Amino acid sequence: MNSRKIRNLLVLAAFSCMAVLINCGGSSSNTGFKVRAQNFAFGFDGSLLFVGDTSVQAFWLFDNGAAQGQTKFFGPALCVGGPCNVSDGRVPATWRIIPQNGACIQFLAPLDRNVTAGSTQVAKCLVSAFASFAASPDSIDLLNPPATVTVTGSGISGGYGMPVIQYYDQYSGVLVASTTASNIAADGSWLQASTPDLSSVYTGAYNIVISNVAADGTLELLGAAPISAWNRDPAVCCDPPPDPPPCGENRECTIN
Amino acid sequence: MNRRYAVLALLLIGSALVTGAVFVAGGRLVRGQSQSNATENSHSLARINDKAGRITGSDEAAIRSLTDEVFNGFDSSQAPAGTVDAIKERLVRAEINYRAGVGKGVSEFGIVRMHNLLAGKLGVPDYAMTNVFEVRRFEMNALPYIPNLIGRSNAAKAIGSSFNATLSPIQAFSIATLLMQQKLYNEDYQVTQAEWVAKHGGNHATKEKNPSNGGKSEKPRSREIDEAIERGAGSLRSAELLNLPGAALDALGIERNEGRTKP
Repeated sequence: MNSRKIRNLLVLAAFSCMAVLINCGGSSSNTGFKVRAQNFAFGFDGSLLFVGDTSVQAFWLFDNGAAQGQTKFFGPALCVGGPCNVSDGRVPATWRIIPQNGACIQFLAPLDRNVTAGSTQVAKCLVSAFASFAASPDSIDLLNPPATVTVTGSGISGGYGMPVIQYYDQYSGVLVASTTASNIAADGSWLQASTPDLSSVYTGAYNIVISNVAADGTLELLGAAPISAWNRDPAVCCDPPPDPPPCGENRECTIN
Repeated sequence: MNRRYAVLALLLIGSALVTGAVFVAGGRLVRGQSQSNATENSHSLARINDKAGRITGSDEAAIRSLTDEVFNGFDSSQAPAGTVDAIKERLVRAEINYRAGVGKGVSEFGIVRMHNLLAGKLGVPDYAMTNVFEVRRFEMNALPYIPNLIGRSNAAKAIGSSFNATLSPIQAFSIATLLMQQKLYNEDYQVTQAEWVAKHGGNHATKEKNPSNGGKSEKPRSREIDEAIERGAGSLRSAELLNLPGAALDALGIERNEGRTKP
């Protein structure tokens, strides 16, 4: 094979490779789009928590202009780790994108939306709010704290020792106070504990974490309840600790 | 003339290998897509919690079952054969050793290190990075849903100590991957430290180590992260891409082993 033929083959291969690379970035079709559905729940700090993917169904409602594509219905399908392709989905058009989840309390994104070619449509479903434990009172005046705090929930047990109640700063995740329950319900539905020393606690949001004591003395985390504290404004608090240094080449970062 | 064309051919072959590595090992290892006609939920916190609750002692089968469930959230079917199995095996062995009292725990800072190593390598935006406060906040927010996973703690904890300073290997890996999912999919976690503080009352100091880019993007942050991951994975050398999972476990603090449980 002479050098001219080799050159032509290499140029052809170069164009082929470039075409593959360009095409790998996605289709340039005028039809089709992607869909997925996700479940969310509320966290203590009021933020949403992604809890997992769920099945999605989508169907076309009407065109928005000169739409193309023959597909007007999709699913139900479970799209894990990434959206599903609605091949030849008719666009631009208004579609209804629905999480197929019987436990959906509230839809967090509009079901009916204008879908354009190549777009990704994500349906979001609120499945539950945290409701495992609740504190009473749920707000503490730091200059006049209550004598006791009652926490309601389930699974509370004194089998190996009275349950432990730990107060964590919701911002930093640092333990600020700890106490032990003084009374618990026979059915495990509530406990009462003296309010711990909160003299170094400042105004802010906290989580009361409730744990049963296990046979080996460790704590079995049961759940948590949000609580707020007020009337002692802080010195402005703290950045997170700096990022840990990288590990050395071929060296683990294990705890010694 | 022949030498020039030989070099050009080598470059083309090399670029094909990188392209293959990006889409087989890189992009699909981080996120991917699989579709089934099942109608039940997948990779919910409830399933992870259930499997975590079935582990007693160093029960290898139960540990493997939990490990498999954690991986269900990522479509690993496109990854090179053996890569995912090797990661799982390392995790399972480390967890067995830890529960047997011969292996090492993982620091909560390991989660930060692993997350930010991957985020840094892929060049994601600042708001996709994490810090130890965010790790703790995530754990506490997720506690009602995964109490079995977060598990047990020592009774004697000093005031000022962290919510969960030392974790088991599979706990740490699970928390790390769940937090990554929050960064990928959840707007409430796609925030910098300063943005979180501002949203929650603003009475905490914060210095942005990596200030957000000026100007608000009109793109959803999930899309920005997706695009950054695609670009970042494409910029990595194939060897670096393929070594990334092992490097991530090193950064997390998961012991390497030869597959033998230590005596």
